[in-house]
Amino acid sequence: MKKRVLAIIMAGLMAASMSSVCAYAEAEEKTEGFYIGLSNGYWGNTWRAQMVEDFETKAEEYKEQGILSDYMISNTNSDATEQLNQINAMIDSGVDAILIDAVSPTTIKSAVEKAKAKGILVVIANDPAAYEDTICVCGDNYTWQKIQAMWLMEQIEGKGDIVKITGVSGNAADTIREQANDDVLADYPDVNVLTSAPGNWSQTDAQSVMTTFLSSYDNIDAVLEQDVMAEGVIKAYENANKDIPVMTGDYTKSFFTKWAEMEDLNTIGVPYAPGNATVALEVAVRLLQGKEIDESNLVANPMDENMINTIMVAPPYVVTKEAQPDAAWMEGLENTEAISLDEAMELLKDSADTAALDGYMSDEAVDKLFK
Amino acid sequence: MNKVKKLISWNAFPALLLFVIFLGINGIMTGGLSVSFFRSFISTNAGAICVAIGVTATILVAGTDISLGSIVSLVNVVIVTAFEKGFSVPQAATLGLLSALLCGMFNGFIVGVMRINPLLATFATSTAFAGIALWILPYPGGYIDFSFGDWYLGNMFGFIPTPVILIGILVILWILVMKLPMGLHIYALGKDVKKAYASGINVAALRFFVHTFAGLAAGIAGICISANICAGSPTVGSTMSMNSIAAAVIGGVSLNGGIGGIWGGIFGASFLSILISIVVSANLSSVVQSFIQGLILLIGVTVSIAAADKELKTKIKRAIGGKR
Repeated sequence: MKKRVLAIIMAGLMAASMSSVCAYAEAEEKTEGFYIGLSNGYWGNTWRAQMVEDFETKAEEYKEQGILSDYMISNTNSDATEQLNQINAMIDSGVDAILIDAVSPTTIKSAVEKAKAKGILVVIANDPAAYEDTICVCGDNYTWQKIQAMWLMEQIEGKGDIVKITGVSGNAADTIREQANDDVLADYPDVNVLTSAPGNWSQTDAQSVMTTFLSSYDNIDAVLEQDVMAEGVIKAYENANKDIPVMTGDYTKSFFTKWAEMEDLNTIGVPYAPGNATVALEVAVRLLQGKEIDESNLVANPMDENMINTIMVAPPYVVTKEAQPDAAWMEGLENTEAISLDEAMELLKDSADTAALDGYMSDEAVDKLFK
Repeated sequence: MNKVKKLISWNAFPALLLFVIFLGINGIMTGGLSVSFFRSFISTNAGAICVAIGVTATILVAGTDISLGSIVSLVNVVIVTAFEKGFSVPQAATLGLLSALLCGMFNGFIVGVMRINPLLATFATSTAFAGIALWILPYPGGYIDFSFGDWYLGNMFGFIPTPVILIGILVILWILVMKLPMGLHIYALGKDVKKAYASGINVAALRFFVHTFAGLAAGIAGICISANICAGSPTVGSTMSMNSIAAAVIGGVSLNGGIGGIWGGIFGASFLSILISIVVSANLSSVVQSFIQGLILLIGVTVSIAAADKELKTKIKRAIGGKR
């Protein structure tokens, strides 16, 4: 009997739904008043919080200018199904474009297909993912690591024994970064990589790896590592009571603070900027306005080499003790600014200790990507 | 009137009510519920619903299964890998389903025959299954022919969406089981293991069965999710285990066993899913989204538990009154 009541309820619901099918009027070519959604697939560290904050700041700015009528943001903690639900909800809310930082590059197909079928623009933001008829705007891991490797090679004048600490083995970003390292090191036959081990982008892992290295090798001329692990490396040296050689560094406020305090430390800070998602917003707005991307600015998608749909966002800053805008590693980086450590500290003066040095391309710079 | 009373006192009713109310709210917020909304809702959440059905079966016998999410991931990577190794889509899906059944039987063996506490046993196997999934496909990637997705997003028998059929298979199977003496035994076992054992119920076999059924449910969930994303991700199901248990509890299934039914799991999972849509549609600031979602969930759980509790009381009264 309860089933009959249930059936009646269900039938009623269905009838109600049938009668209220939304007719989607084909949108006129408009230049403002867009409604944009950001679906963020991970939400559990300062970096991602900063990413969302940057996006909100820029979206508010666009809203004041009238370019956006409104925007929506949803976050999930690595729950692929939840993200699909969120994207579907955005589609049903009638957004004009969706920016997606996917939980995993492969899990958003049905939502992307549905969005495309409704004529909604899909822009993959921050982390690369390969889907037909989408644009991908993501951080340029290759250039990011290349800058640091080139800087390190210059510091040791192209010769010596170095150790390498890598990120999470097999992770797409790590693979690209290590490729950059290999490409740079190939030009320096006199540099000997003693050993290499994954530090999993974790301070503690990096510290234990470095401690092992220190007990195994008497002479280490330089440490080539990636971002957050720098403080672990420093701790390992401090515990072993040894002098820290030249090393690549991190880009958080706490690292810069430490660096400023340590007179002898020779390092570099290149931000992998949370502002990447904001560049995706800037690109999405222009695409909605009917502008076309200049193909010369598109490169192959890191997830699918046959798909030429990706805009790589170079780091906004390169931080060295004294600014070196004319250095070899700055060549060809139009949107990257070489600044000094003091300038970086000034930029971060109001930020939290864990905050990353951040920035995103200006509207003028993004305009240059378009025809 | 009698019918209405019966519906209201149904274990799964609070969850159904919550679902319908929130569905309505969602409809108001997005300006009408479209057919396409229902279609994408069911295709996105069929996996979660299947897992909730599976876990409900294990909870009914006063057990639990927290390895189902890992099995879903495993099925996903098996299907993708098998397809890339040259199997056809149906063959790959069958392989995935079989591996899920094997996992379920393995759980059933450990819990039923070896008599290890189900929470501990499935905690261990969940890590193992997730590990195997990661071993088979270490990184997200791979692809399945889009015909799989088209089949899943399309209809069967002309007008019924495929995900509904897939859920329907589990429901029908469970209803059949309930018609057998075994159905009664499952509830008896959930109410009191010792009495059930003393009454000659084969406890080991029943536990083996419910875990195998849960494995099958996870297998179908894996097929749903694989078809929906048409790609592989070794962690795709990782959050489903806990969500499914929450769904079952919201659906009036007692964690102590013996109370509730699979409809509870179905409506509980549906409510959890619609909740996500609501919070997004409400366009709240991202800092408060999780809070609001948690708050509504808390209220939902409290309401459904309170409602179920009333029934518990009357049942206890009836039981005591009947016996003495």
